[in-house]
Amino acid sequence: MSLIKLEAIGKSYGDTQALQCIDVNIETNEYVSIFGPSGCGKSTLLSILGLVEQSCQGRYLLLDHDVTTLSADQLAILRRRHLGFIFQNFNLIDHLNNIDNIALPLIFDGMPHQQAQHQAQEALNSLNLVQHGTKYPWQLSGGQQQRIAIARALVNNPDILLVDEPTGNLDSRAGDQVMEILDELHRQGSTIVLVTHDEKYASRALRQIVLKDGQVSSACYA
Amino acid sequence: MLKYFSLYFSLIRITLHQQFHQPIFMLNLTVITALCVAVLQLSGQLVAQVMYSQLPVVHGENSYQLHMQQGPLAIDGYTMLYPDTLYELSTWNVTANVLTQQAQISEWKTDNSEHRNIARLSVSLNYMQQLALQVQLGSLTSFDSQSAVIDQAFWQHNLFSDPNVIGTLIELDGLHYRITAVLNGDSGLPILPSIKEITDRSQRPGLVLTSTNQGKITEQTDSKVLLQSPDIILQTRLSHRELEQAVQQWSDKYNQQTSRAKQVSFSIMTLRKAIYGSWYYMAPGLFLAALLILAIGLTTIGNLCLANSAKSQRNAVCQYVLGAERWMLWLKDAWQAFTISVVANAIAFTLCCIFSKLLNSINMGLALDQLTPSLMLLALSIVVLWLLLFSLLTLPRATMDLHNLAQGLASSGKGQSGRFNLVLMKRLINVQVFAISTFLLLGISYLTSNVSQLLPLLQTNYQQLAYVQVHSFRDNSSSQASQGVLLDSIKQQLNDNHQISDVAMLGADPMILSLSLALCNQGSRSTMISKSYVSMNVFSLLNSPILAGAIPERLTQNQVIIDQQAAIQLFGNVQVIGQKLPCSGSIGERQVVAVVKIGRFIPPQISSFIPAGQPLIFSQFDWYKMDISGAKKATFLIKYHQKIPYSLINKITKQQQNSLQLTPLTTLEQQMIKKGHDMRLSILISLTVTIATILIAGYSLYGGLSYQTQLRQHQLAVCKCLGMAPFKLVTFIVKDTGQAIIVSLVAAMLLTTALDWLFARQAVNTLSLSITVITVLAIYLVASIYPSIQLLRNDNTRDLLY
Repeated sequence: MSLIKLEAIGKSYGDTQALQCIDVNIETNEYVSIFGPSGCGKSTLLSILGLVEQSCQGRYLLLDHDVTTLSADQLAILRRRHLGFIFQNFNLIDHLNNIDNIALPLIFDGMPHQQAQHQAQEALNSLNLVQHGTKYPWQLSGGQQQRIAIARALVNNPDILLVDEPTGNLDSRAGDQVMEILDELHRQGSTIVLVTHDEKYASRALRQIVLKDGQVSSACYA
Repeated sequence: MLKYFSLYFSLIRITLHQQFHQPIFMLNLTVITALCVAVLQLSGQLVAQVMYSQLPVVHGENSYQLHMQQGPLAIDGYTMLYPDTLYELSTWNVTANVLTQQAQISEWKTDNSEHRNIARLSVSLNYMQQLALQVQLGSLTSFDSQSAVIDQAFWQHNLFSDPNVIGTLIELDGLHYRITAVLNGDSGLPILPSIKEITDRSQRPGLVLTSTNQGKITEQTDSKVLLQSPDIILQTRLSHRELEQAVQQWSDKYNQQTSRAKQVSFSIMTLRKAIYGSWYYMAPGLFLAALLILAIGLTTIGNLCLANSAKSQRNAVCQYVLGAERWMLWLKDAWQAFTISVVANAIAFTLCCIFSKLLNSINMGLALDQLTPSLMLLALSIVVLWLLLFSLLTLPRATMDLHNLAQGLASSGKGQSGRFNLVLMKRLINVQVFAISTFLLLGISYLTSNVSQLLPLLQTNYQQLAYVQVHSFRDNSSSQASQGVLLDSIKQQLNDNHQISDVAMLGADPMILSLSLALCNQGSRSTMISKSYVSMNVFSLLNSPILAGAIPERLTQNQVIIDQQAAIQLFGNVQVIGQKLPCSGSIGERQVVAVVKIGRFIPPQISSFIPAGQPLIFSQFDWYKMDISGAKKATFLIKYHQKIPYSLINKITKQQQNSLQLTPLTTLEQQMIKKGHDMRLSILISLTVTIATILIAGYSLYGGLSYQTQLRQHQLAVCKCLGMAPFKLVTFIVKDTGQAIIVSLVAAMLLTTALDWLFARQAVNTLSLSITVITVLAIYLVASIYPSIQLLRNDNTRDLLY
């Protein structure tokens, strides 16, 4: 089943064409990396995939929903139920402790607070961060913060995990650890879309989509 | 349902977390909001008090004066019209309440069977219940057709201040009435000018109030009726428009029924407009001052909210991307505004209570015992709406524009994401800094130049200062010299009495003043000034602030004391000791020996005569040399220990000369409240407004500057990473922000000096300028150094990465 289907997607900012005629299908349990040099449109593509940006041209079907016809709040509901985000800069909320940060998507979906915390705790346990639950993000190292962000992305059992340069702010050791977690998640059945400019990490995915100047220059399977 | 409840609870919890993690911001926002609410509440209450406290009617806001305009109409014409009018009025609305009054001269039979003519006011039975009359003795509740209420003058002059007067029978026009109450000297009576006209014209000391027949004006064609009031006081719950329509209908109906050549027309006017005195004119000024403070306060709230929104924009975007719908984000901000408002309102309530207690302890005739719920609600609504508006202002852009959403995710929330115009923001802040510096300068100038001078006035007990006028010299039978000796003798005897602390003499008579008006020339300008004769101890009795020079024991004929108004109008400043008045005529070229702050209310009678702002000069009270002609009056200003010593003064005066007539003894407290010239309240209000302005302006200045520094977070991080030493970094920020502050300060000083010169306030001086500069610089240093140090302590790697 196609989780994501992009048909002739294009995106421009004024006169600048960021993406041109992108056609991509992503199936369940796929591990796809979007790879390319800086400024090739990787992050824009991920933003479109994550319903954070709307495309200017083309059609985007997410779980068979044509997202171009949905309202902003309907997109928000789709995001919290079906998508998990991992950002380069973690994007954790400073004033919430780690448990609360992880529980956020569940809370937004109306889950009772205690139940959400319980589920968040489980996600935390799975990433060996039990002792950091009551701490705040700024009390953790970069690698730990990214693992909290991963826990937050996983807590609502998303259909697709969208990962944007997860190692960009980390040292190589922490970066490797994060990539290992992603590999493990894929082995457990998660669908992952990874955006990276690092060929080493991109090659860990089963399928690589290489972008150049806003266009798919090649797509290959490992 | 449970799901939504749980969601609301969780969102509120998240908001509380956010609030606890920004204690300084929350404190600032709460304090500034509290000040805003408090200022709005207090000023609203004061305006309401000022507008209604002087109204002589209970529920004055619903009271109207109905005036009949019908050209030349005989008194019997009124009497024909009244019963019909009253009947019609009563059918309009059950709550309509008609008060009637009719003034006349009656014959009063004294205990010695002597017949005297007295002024009498026949009023309807509901008159006493509806008017806010103050009672000195007895009660107004038992007023009926057999009752008589006497005023203080009648009690003092005709019944010699007998404390057991209640219950005494008096005979008026052959009918017996029982005295049930003695009204206070200035109890707000009468509503209509006609009564005053009667009492003044007939020169009868005192007034007696009796009831009309069943609340209606009786057919009265007696020639003794001086004036039958053509006005009716209505109390109704009808709106002004409804009442106007009803009056118009009644007028048309009446004119159709009658075949009079001149048609009767009616007009209605709210009693609010009937207020006389400076309060009425002060209220808009007070309201404007409150609005000004509110504007500064709201701007600061706006700034703080904008700063916070810009700072937390990334959080909002992040939560939105994680699946929060927009209403959830709005709910969080709304909850934040609500909690701040609740806490701020509690603080504001406390501040209002403290201020009310302070105001009530000074006892100035305005009581702020109860906070008006509707006013509190209004104040709270304005501030909450403002808070909400600015809290939510950045959210739509953060969540609706998806392009910004993506940018927001990549940014660190430094307030520079999207189309947020940093340059424009900085310029706006600079303009604000300039405006706020000006307010600070004005406020501090006012405080430094006035507080020490005005505090003695607040401490003066005007309840123990009273004046009484002696007027028996109209016949000119005695020589001027003997009159002077008589006055000196009375003064001496009063001074010798242990009940009395001090006595001052004032030659305060409108006639005298009108003769003493003079034109003084100062360059091309001419100034009309008024002269008053006072003994020198009057200034110490009144604790009058001395602005320059010193009050001598006695003024020579070539010396003069002037008030601040005169000094500014004649010389342009108050440092004029030794200068000669540029006056001719009766004043002449006299040398100024002292400048007093307020001359206006020193001789009580002057206050009702001299228009506000008219300069005053003071000469030595000397009966022999006073350049007066015609009727003479002298006023004793008496400071006494506890109980008002009217009988004592009366006794001493009568002992000296039996034919001497004394006016009622009036305390300065009563005089000031009646005339609305209560300087203390003006002082208190202006000081409060000034302090509130300084506080809020200080907060605003700090908020604006610190926000400006916050905006440079990224720039700071770059500089630090490029190797700039922390101290240099702070200096760099301070220097950069300092340019704006110096330009603002200079511009503010120029503007303030121009305003000062324009209004001749003489408030800006070296001291106030120095204090302002120090205050502004201190705020500026704290506002730029503290946030920059905080920024430097942050992990700058993060600032650079985002």
